[in-house]
Amino acid sequence: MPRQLPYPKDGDWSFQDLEAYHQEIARVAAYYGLDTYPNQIEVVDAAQMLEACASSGAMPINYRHWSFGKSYLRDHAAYQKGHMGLAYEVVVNANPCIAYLMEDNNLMMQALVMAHACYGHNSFFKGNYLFKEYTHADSIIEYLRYAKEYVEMCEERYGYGRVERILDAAHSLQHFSVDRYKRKRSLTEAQEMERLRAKIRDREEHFSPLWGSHDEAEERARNEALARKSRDGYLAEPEENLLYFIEKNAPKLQKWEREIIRIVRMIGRYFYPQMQTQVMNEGWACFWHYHILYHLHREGLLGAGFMMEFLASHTSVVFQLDHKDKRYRGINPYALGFEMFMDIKRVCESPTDEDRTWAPWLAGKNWQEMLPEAMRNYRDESFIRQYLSPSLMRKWRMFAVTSGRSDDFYAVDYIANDAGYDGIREKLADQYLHSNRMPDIQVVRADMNGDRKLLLRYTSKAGSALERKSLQKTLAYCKHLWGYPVEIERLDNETGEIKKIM
Amino acid sequence: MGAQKISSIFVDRRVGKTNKQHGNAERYKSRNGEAVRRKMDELLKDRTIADVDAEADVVIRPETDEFTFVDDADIGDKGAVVPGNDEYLPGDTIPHNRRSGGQGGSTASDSDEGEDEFVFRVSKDEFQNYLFDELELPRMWRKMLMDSEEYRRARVIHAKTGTRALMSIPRTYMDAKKRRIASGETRRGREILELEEEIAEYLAKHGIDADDDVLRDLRERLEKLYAKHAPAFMDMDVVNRVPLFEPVPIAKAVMFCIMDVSGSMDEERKSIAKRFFILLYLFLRRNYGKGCVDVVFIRHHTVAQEVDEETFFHATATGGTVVSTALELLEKIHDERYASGEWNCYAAQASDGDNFPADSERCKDMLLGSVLQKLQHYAYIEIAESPQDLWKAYETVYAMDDERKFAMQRVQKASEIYPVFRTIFDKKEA
Repeated sequence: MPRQLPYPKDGDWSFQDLEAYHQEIARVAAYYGLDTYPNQIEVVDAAQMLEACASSGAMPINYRHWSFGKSYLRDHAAYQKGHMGLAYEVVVNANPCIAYLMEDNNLMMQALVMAHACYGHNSFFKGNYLFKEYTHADSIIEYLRYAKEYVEMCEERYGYGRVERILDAAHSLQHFSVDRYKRKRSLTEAQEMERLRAKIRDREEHFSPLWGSHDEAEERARNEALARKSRDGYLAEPEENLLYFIEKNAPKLQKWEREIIRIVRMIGRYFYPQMQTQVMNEGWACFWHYHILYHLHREGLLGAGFMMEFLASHTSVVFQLDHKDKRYRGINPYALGFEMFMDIKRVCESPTDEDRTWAPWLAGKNWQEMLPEAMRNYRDESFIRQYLSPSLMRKWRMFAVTSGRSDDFYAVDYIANDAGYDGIREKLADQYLHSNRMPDIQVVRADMNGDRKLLLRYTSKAGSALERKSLQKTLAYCKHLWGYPVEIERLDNETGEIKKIM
Repeated sequence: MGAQKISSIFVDRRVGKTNKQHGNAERYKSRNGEAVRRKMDELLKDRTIADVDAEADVVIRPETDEFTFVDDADIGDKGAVVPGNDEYLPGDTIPHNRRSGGQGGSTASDSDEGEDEFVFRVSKDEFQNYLFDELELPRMWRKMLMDSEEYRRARVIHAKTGTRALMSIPRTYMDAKKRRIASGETRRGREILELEEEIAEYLAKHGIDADDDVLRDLRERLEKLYAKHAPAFMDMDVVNRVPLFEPVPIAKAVMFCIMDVSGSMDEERKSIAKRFFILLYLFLRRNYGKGCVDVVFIRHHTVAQEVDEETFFHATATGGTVVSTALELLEKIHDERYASGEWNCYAAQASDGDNFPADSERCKDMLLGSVLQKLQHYAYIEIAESPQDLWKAYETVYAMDDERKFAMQRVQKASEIYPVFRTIFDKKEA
């Protein structure tokens, strides 16, 4: 009979307790074959937790910008008023993987967070294809440190105001700084660092205080490269990565300004997978904290008291409100993700006839192989398209509604029945399609030998339009970066009509 | 399964707190400085002065300041998958208000209503900055050099004195070079190099152990040069940039605070008067510092007495009213302590305007006769609904005061104190 892990009534913990729990959790995680980065677990207090959440995506270091202060002040006020609880887990996709434990949490919560973040999220970061493709956990911390220092250096040298304007403008385009469709050969952060060192060497060798950093030869090369790729100013291939295009081609930017844009772009890219995999990532982490702690319970290491408390927390995290509830704010990604992974396991272990017809490739297979495969190769949208089962749709009593532009009602299109399963699945998957959340905007023209105007094209779907005020401001930012006028036209996807909108 | 090696580490970050977001928060605050200032102005209008000495929470609604391209095709409008169906069949319709939430319902609100309300905590210091911003004592002259604690950098000289931290590298280099040229060091250095080379060549030709007259001669010459050779930099070369300071004349000022504590001043009026003086007192302390401003507290009913700060603000006394006694005391204290000409003298008087009948005339004569000449500025606050005796007498003073040293204002409510205070001490155009 194994000795039960210590669990004091008041839930108070010591570092020895944490070590003991962590050791057991790590053992079970290894038993289930979770492949993770090494962990670095940091114990912080509530104030530090608030701070950590404020800088975008909870980065342990970041350059300075007022927008982080803004979200910090907002969270701080909400927290003090009691409107908001603290995020109980913050985990950073890095190698080693950094997870925060808050000192005020009791021992059960610490164990839950360790299982959830240090083994759930951590293995997701390491395994999922998007993270592999877009992020480099090995060097992100070093890169962020460099970014912070570089921005600081620029603030000292060129003035806080100028740096802030570049950052403001670049931030406004941060969501348009990823190559979604085509894969460019992208540098790892380590290669990135090497590129920087070369740059510094270059600057030292060719230092010319008289001419600053303006380099005519470079500008000429830039123009020629762009001209080769375009005809009459129109690009042969439209560019969806607006920040990339500006960084590489804007005629008037100083070198340091390009570097700052690049920093914003790199960080934007680093977060891109997280936006794409919220349901999966949280679902995966919940699935594993649940399984790991249950496993320890079955082994007799965790007592009933612990489990009761754990279940209270767990169920409130993976709880989905019905649409009629006043507090309903859409689908809870934790709940959907958790249920879907549980459902995959169920289909593997005890498939019904329905499952066998719907997912013959899954039914009856070994869940310990099928589950990691799903984790590795999908993002939210494709995950739902592939794995949302009829039985889960019935369980959640899902239905799909639409509403026309001028309608004041919703029409029910599908309910969870034989005729509706496919429809619901498609619609829900579309909801998580990144391109459905971001307007489709591309650079189509930049005539470097003519008026140097930049032309963007917005492709509208189903008669949608860009919101005027934010469009105006964002275009002003584009103009600040580009240095010459920026215009935008709207292509109506249905009629094919193109019209200049600003 | 046995226990395995764990690669994890726990780090206790709680010690050595750093406020990482402080700088960012400050930046955001200063971005909204203008809005905070406007809001502060509003707040100050109806702020009771008792809490000047505290922090304030300022709630503003900042303008939207983060923009990106936003599609108005809200996902919720195009359609959504919703859980919890217990009544609908395909083809049913649901009025918009029946669905309480909605996917992506937040995008619409981001666009035009501005941000949510923000609470900025304004510290005591910042608050008083707002409070006394753009205020000053009128006609304050810098008169004294003595006791001055303030020095300004007059100029910088290059000198051989001073500490190493002040070393001017270019000048030191120049001096070293001059010395080396003057003492033939540069020539000698060249010769040393040539000789060393010669010896090396000789040794290479004749073997490392060679020892003959030629070599000995070469070595001797080299030794001689070595003996004369001085280092590239010597202490005598060092030139420092030594700043010269000169004292800045300081402005010394005295403020006479005259408060009427007679029986006609009821509690409310007294508290208004006290608040005015608290404000004045804080203002002097803050904008001029303790060393520069003396404050003389005079309270009076039928007799005037000089009291300390504590008594002035907190003790109670009562009686009839003879204002001129206070002016007499003011003159007496001035002549005794502040007549030397180093002092900028100011007076502020608060009263309900009720005075012993013939005394107001006397006050007028005293002010015009001698008191105003001794002062830079005189402010009178009357706490009354309608003009009283003293006000009428002072109106003559005001009219005859060619130098515009005399200011008078009437206050009825506590909320008027601050605006009145501002009108009196507002920075006049130069």
